[in-house]
Amino acid sequence: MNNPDVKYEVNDNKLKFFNYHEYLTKDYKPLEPTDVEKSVVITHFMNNHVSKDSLAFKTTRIIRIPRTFETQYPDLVPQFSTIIPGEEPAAIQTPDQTNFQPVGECNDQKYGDTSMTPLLNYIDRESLKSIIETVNQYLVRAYHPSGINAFESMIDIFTGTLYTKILTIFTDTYSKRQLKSMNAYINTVNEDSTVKFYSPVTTGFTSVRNQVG
Amino acid sequence: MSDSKNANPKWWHILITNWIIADPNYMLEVNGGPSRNYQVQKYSNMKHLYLFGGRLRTVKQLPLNLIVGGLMILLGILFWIFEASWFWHKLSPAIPIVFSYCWFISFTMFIKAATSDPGILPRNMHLPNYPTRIKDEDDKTIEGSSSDPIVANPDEYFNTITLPYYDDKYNGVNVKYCTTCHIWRPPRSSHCGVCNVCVVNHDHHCIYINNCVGLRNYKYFLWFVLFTVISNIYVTVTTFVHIFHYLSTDSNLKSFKHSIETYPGTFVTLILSILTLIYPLSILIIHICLTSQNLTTREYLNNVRPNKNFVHVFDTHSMLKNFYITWIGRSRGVSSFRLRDQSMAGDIRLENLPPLE
Repeated sequence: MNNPDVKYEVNDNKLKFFNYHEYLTKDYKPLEPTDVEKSVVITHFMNNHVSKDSLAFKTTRIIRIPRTFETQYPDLVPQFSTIIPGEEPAAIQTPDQTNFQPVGECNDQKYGDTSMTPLLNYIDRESLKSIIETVNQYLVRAYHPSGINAFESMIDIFTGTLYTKILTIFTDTYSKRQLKSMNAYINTVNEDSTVKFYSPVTTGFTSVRNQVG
Repeated sequence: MSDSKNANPKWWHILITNWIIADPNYMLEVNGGPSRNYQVQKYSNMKHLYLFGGRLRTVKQLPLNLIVGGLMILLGILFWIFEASWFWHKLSPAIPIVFSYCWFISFTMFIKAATSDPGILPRNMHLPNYPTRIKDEDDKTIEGSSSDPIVANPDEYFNTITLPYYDDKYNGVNVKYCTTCHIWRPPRSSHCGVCNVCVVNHDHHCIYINNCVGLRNYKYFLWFVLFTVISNIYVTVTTFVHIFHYLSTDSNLKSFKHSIETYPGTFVTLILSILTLIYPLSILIIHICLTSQNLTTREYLNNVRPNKNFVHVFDTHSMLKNFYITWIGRSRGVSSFRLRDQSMAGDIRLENLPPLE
């Protein structure tokens, strides 16, 4: 068919996803002397979940998994990107690089010149992907505007919030129960793994954090 | 810095300043200091006031919410005194019962919209690097030095990023970094200048409920406005019927003047209900128009009104679906920053950091 959307489609204008937490800086000490002036990509950050006087603050770093908005109702249902950080469509990449290669030092931390995350040194791809996908499923159940969520919110309105007040004496709303299950799942994952995940609830669903030593 | 007079504040003094009406700027030091998150926020320009141990909140502005609440209570009382028993015996007990239910829902929704969390995002989650300066609540530098150079902040954090959306890969959604709160805000979130916080799906800051309207309390706000209008129309109609009942055959009254003289309270209620109907009704109509497109007030004012070609990607293009999402389906979720939790020493979410420059 002579569909103008297809006929004149220019793929160059399509938006591409990338990890907006990372940024470039030229302010680093190269690990090996080099003449080429490059930038390093800051892909890990200080651990702001622990007190800054603690040992954990000095020995651990945070990697931020960004939110993705390519799911249904992304403003209501927070979902996190299941793409390995560094492999997003608009990430800074070199061909055939599959792991983190430090190139420079900045503020006593090592960084590479691509978006590739050092996370894969501590956890394998499939585990990371499956953990994030499971967290996403919990979030869908907790926040999707349908089914039990809608039913409970309607009863809440038409009883003048008495339903929630009485219900919370015994249990929680469905949405809150799902979020509690999600937190319990994350705690279980943290017991078995060298990488520690922080629940997205603590960050206001702005990012999921992985703490690495 | 406590003198001997304040060294042992009385228990009722502590109860009032640290629990009943808690202003984080004026906490009393108790046995080692305040202990819950709502008591130790150190940001500058903090506008929130916490009631009953951090369970309710309001903003330090002109207390128009008290006037609105007062008017609602007044209208209810006027109906119950002047109308309820007349209708109960003359027509049906259902009439005052239905009004009471509508009034109850409207009042509880008002309390919920005015005192609950609109979806405030925690601060300082996405600092690009370690801050060299930390300030106290009076904006005095307590760590680092005012002359310390601010660590070079990335240019990328000052751009608005556009990312692909679910079913629109060309227009996409905007993600912006808030330099005051130091976070990457989700799309549709905004920094409220009055409350000095970032709010998810920020609709507007309502001066009549003295709170922001955002993701977590938009539903309560909408149903509050709707039930207020319903209750108001109900009172208008019932008082109208009551006043003009003299026209029917089973009344002893002969004229309008006679009717008003017999039922002066009803007449006052009628006038009051008509006057207080105008503003809520206009707000209701505005929000019905906005929710039919899944649009927030901010998006309308900032994007749609100035730019006729603005593409609103969150519009599901089905009015029923849009109404469903905004009025019915939206889940309240949980608070992102738990005010009543025990505060952690060195919690960076509570620190007063200078805005990113």
